[in-house]
Amino acid sequence: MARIMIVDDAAIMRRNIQLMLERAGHTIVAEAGNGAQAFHEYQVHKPDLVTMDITMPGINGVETVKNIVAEFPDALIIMISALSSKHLVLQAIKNGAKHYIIKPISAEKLLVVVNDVLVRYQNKKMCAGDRQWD
Amino acid sequence: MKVLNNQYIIKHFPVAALAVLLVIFLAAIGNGSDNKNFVKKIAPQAVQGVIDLSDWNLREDGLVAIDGEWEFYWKRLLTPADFANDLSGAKSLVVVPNQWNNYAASDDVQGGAGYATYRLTLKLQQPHMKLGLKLPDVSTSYNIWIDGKFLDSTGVVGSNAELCWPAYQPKVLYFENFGNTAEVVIQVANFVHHKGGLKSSLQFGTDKEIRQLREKKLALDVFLFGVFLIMACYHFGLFCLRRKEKSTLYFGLFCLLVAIRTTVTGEILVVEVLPNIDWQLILKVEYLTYYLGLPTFLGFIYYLFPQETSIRVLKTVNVIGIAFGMVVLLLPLKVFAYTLMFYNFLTVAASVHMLYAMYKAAAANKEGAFLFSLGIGVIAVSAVNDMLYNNNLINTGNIVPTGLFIFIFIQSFVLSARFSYAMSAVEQMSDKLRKSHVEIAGWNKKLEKTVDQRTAAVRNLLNNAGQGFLTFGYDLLIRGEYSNECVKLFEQDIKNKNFAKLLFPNNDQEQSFTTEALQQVLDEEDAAMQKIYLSLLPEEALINDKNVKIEYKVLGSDKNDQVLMVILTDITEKRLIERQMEQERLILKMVVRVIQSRRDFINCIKEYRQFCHEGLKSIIESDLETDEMIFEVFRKTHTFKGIFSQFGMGNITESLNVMETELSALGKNSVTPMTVKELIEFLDGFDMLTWLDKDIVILKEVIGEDVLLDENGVVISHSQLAEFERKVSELIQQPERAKLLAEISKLKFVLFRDLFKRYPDLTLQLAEKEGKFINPFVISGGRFPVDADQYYDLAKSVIHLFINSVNHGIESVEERLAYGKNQYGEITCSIELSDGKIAVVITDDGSGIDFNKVREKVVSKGLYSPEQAAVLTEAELLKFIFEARFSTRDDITMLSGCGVGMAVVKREAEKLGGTISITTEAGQGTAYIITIPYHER
Repeated sequence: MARIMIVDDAAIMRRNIQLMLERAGHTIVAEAGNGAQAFHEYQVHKPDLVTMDITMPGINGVETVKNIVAEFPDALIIMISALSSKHLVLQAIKNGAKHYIIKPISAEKLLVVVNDVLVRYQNKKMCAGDRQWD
Repeated sequence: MKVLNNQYIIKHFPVAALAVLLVIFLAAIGNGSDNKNFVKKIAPQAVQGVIDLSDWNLREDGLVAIDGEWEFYWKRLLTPADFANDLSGAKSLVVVPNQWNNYAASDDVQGGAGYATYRLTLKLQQPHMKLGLKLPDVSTSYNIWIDGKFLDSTGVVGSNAELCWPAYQPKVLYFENFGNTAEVVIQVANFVHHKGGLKSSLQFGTDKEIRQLREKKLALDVFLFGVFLIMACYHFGLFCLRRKEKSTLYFGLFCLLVAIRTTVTGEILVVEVLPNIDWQLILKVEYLTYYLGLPTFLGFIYYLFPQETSIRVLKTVNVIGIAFGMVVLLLPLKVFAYTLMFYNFLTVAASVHMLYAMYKAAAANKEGAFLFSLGIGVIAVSAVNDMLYNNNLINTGNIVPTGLFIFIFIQSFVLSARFSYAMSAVEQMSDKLRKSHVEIAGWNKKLEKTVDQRTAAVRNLLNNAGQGFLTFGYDLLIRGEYSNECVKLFEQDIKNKNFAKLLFPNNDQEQSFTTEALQQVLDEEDAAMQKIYLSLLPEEALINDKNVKIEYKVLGSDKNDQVLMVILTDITEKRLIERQMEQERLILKMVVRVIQSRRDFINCIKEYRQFCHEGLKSIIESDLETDEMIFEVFRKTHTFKGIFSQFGMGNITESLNVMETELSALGKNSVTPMTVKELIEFLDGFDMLTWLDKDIVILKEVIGEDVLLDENGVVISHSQLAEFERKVSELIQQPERAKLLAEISKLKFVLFRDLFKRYPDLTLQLAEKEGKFINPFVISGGRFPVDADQYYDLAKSVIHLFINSVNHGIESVEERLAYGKNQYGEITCSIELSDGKIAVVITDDGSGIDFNKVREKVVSKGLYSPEQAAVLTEAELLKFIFEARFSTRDDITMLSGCGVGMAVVKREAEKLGGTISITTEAGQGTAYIITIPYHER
């Protein structure tokens, strides 16, 4: 039951991820379509966790992670990337991202990674919806 | 060390004890004794104030202590003149030496105070001898006249305390006797000491002897003083070096006290050095050294043997000693003199305790206890002696110094022994240490060897594991220890090479990505993050055209010492097999789909072929514009592609896809529209029919030649037909019924040969399995229809004949070649129909039936004796083959040589009203002939 922010320039992707997360019991507290907006929204809502697409117009995911983590060192950010962008993922993690998912995203993959990050860094109990993936 | 061992001492006790006693004895004599008891002659004593020495040759017979009865004039100070003029008055006789407290004549003495005159007349051998007189310490002042001549005084003699001045100073006086007698007159006055008078003997002899005596005693005192002082300093030094040993401190103190005591007793050295020293001080020091000496000595004993000595006794003695010491310091002699007696008792008690403690220590076998006890005993004895001597109970002298000397000697000896022992213990230990070093060096070598062996074993293991193991640190340079498989995979030596470069020799981007990721892993402390970084790295790579699986492991618990291990596994073959399996799966998928929708498939093929032949042409020849034509073709190919894709026909789908792409590119690209001619040329480039053939060939291989056979018919199942038959029987009357059923039956008819359709393949497979080589064969003849159900069982049983031929008929290649036969065996199967009889003939050109074996089997089965079996004819044996009993499994296996299958075939043939016979010729082959009637029905 975490408060999550979704960052992706494609509204469809955001919707997709939102459905998957909400079905598992998480709450979407904010959305952003680019890096600048992401930073702003983070400041306002201080979500527990952020999913962020790596390739975005303007400030890309790697930069955005750096900015957010610099200001909020406890930020938990999960990168979403295509297989071809693994090198970007490396940079993002070096900048402070905590985990990543390679597209295509399945609900199973998404929830496993989200949970892993939450458990590791916040010791939150598993959401009820995750039981089926055990 | 042996001397510290009590048992050793006890063994040699007699010698030691004697030695000690002898020394004591000598000391006693040499030191204090004023009596030379070992001299042959016993000196005369004074009697009635006269001592007769007229028979005493002073030079030969030695010194004389002029003891005995002296004239004594109490409370009168008389000079020789007084005696000459006979003004002495009443005289008494007293025994000298003694304190005048003990005389009856002076019974009014109070606390030793008083004054008196002593007189003695000596009768000598000769006149005009050079003589000497040694005076001890006299209590406490005197004047002395000899032969009327005033010789000396010590202190100031007076008749009352104010006039009297005390002094202690042993002296020697020299004089010459006038005549044969000498008169000695001594005035003594004392108002300070509790004992007055001539307490000690006066020694008399030749001047030379007296001088010698004095010098000897002086020398001894100086010697002892020196010894004790040195001992004190030495022990203080020991204590400074080793504060733990308190015993050395106390002993040093004790020696110091004794040293001081020697200066105030005996010849009273201190007076020689400081003549005007206060007489009370001398006494005080004398008492103090005693009062402080006891606790000091007891302390010494306690710290040596703490378990045996009672601390309470020590504390008590300490308290009393210090208290009495204060008394001595602060109060005059008259007062503190009375403490002496009490303190003596304390000393005795303490000594008893000390001796007891020593005994306990010796019993507990404490080191050096016995020697010590000896020393203490000596001191105790000498102390007791001194006490008695000082109370004028015995006449030996003060021997405590000597006793102490002996004790200190023993103590020094014990100390040296301890020291030597410690030294040799150190030497022994050094030796042991050296030996241990050598031993350890040896073990080290062994260990190294073991480690080497183990390492070699592990290396061996890794090298044979078939996987590549290698390690590297932050610099990504491969470390020395890696398995051989790595070299095989990389096709080069990999030591010290950069891992990322090795993995991606031609791809800089991948190299730097890999380097960055690996280094992040090693930088990272959190194991979970390490896993995430590792997940970004490639799991598989192409190394020298080999598919290699890559696994990463982080080694090392110490974060600063972490190392990455990479495990490489060659999965080229695995991938190959996977690809093959995938291909086969796709083929099977295709086959299944085709079979499932057979009708659709055949129609599709027809349509496509038609399009290729005619459809394309009609498009070309139409009135459309070229781009419209292109679009049409595109549309059609797209459709076909979709359909073929549904059937899973990969080849044609792929090819049509390529064509589609090119068509679409063409369509988009045309700036100027194509001409028809150009389009025809373009389309000719695509071999559309051949594409289809590729997949058809695959299908034919799997399904068979008749995959494309378009029966254009209906397929119905057996149950459907049976149902139909039933319905006919129900609904149709005779004679139509029989006719109709016959016709229906005909539907079930198959070609007789089709019943045997699978045998060629099966036989070939069987031969392969058995390692026999045979030529492929086909079923010949049998193209007449029969009711499948009727002949089904027989056809099924025929498998046994083929089995026999392969297993027992056809020989191995070597055998066949040896017999001059073709290495490939020949098996045939022909079916003929003549005169209403079907003949199925199966032959092989193998070794024929071995009748001897059959005979053996028959015998072993117990059916005939060997003799009977020998006479059986071939025909009879053949019959026997067919008549096998197969009621039990055992039977079957025992008769495996001939095969039970034969019986089965015979049974089936006879069921149909037919027969089976065998023709065989050894080395040539066997023929099985089944004859059955043909029912056309």
